Order: sequence, then structure tokens, then C-alpha cells
Amino acid sequence: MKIVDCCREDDVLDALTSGRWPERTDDELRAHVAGCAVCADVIAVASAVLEVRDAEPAEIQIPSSAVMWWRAQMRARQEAAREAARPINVAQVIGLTSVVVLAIVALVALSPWFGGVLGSWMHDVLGAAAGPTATEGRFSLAGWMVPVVLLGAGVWLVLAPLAIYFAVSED
Amino acid sequence: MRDLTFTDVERLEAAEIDVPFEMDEDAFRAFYDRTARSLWSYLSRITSDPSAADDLLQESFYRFLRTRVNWESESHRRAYLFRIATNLVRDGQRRSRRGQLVALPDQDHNALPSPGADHGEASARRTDLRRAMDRLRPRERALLWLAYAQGHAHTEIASTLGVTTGSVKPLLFRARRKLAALLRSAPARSLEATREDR
Repeated sequence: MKIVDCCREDDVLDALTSGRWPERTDDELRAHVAGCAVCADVIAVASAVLEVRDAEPAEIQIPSSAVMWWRAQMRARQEAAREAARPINVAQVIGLTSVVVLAIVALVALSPWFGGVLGSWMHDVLGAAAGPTATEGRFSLAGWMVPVVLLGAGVWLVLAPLAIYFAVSED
Repeated sequence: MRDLTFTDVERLEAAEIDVPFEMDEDAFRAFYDRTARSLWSYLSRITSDPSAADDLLQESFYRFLRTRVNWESESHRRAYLFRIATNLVRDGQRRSRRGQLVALPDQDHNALPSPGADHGEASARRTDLRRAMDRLRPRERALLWLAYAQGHAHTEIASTLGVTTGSVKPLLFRARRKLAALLRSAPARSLEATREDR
């Protein structure tokens, strides 16, 4: 499609938007529009668009500026509160997980029965996951599990405060 | 945002939380009063959905408030607001295309309430234009509305739509030509529709 440009386009649009078109427009411009496809399109489209725009205000029911400002304030505060609470939530999760891990470690260390139950359960789970060959050799899981769990808990206790620090810090 | 309860509102109003808005209330309200109606018209026209325009209007102003930009001028500020709105519409259209939830164009505007609902010639003409515009692509609708209803300059249109200033003229020419052709073919149909209504 060849792009056609007309130097009178702005004059035509100005006449239309200022309300001079067509009655109070000079004959020369009207004659030009009659013979110019570009300007005829400008008149057809712009007058239709302006008519729709001018008919619209009665339909529009938008919130007042005061309501909009208040809603924006509430929403921003809600988001800020949620943002501020995020490190606390992270810290709570880490703290809770630490308590659970420490409780398990304490139970394993203090109660041979619990250690045995946990060991056989882990043996079943690990055995099922590893396939039939893994269950061939019998071993006491509870015995070697205690130092592993203690080591894991130690690592966790070192990492948890670091995690909290990075979650809470600004940067 | 989820709906707030009364307790939430009381708590949030009482909370001394620093709200990071660049504009103060007076400046925002003055800007809103100057631009909200034209933005709503723009959104309503390019989405063909007045209720979507309500939501998009609020979201656009909220995002506008949250931005930290130094405004060079009123037109820059306005173009930025319209750009946020345009991007929101685009995002919504992408989502609706993916989810096939809402068909934005091709709504029957006879179903929309109109003031007076006079079924007169002017009303039929407006319906013709709305239907014709619905047959254009969203970007073409946006171009024509910004250029002729809002009277935005080409630089402002380019900034709003995220295109180069030089491409506005040819895009506008094509969109205008397409709409003019649709409008020329519309009168016969609208007269028949008006007769049927009577």
C-alpha cells in the first residue's frame, strides 16, 4: 500500500476540532477535501471518533480522585506490610524447622527405642528407593545415624542464623 | 489485591507505614482529575469492554503512583500513564489468548447501556464506529483514539505505544484508511438495523 501524505491534513483536522468544519470553513479547504482521499479519510474518521468521544462522558462513572488516592494508599500499605513481614515469616520457618530437627536429634540420642524405630523406617524407605539389591545387606541404621544427624543439626545451627541475617538485611 | 475487611482497613489506616509515592495527594488528585476520563475512554475503546476499563484504570493509576520517574513535563507524565495502561491491556490480551478466557473484540455494543438509548441517527453512527473499531487491531484502535480523540502528538503516541515516532505516521495512515473503508460500508447496515429496531 502506497503511503500518501497530504500537507493540508493538519488544517483539516484543526478545522474539525475547532468546530469550523464544514459550515465555517473556507471554500478552498472544502474543495481540497472533496478532491483529496487522505483528507477525506481524516474527516470521516476523526469526526466519527470525536462524536463517540463527545457522547461518552455521561456514560463514564469513574471513582473520584479522593477514593482513588485512598485505595492506592491502602494497597501500598498492605503491600508494604506484607513485604515487612516476609523476613519474619522466613525466620519463623527456619526457627520451627530447627526446633523439629533438634527434637529429633534429642529423641534419637536419649531414646534407643525411638532410634531403632526411626532407623528401621529409614532403612525401609532407603531400601525401597534404592531397589531390591540395597536390602540384601542388613545393618543397624540407628547406630550410624546419630552422628550423621548430629552433624546435620550442627550444620543447620550454623547456617540458620546466616539465613536469617540475609533474609532480614536490606541489601 | 484481595478484598480488604474493615479490620484490615482500620489496621492499615492506623499503621505508620511509609508509602513510597513520588507524588503528594494534591498533585495526584489534580493529575487524576485531568486525565482519568480520557484514560478510561481510551481503555474502554481499545479493550471494547467498559468493565475491564474500570479495573485497568485503577491498576494504571496505582502503578503510575508506584513508579519513581522524574517527569520532564505534563505530556511526558501523561504519556507514561497511557503507556502503563497500554501495557496492561497488552498483558491482559496475551493472557486471554493463552487461556482463551475472554474474547476482547467483536462485542455487541447494542448490549451496552447507552445514555438515552434513543436509537436515533447519532446513536446508530456511534454504534457503527464502535463496531468498525472493534474490527481493527488493538494497536490500530489505540492509534486512532490517541490521535483523534485525545489529540496526542506523534511523539506522545510513539511513547505510549512503544513504537518509533517515524512509524506513527504510516501506521496511522493505514489504520485510518482501514477504518474509513469500514465506516463507508457501514451506513447501509445501520439504517437497516435502525428500521428493524423500530
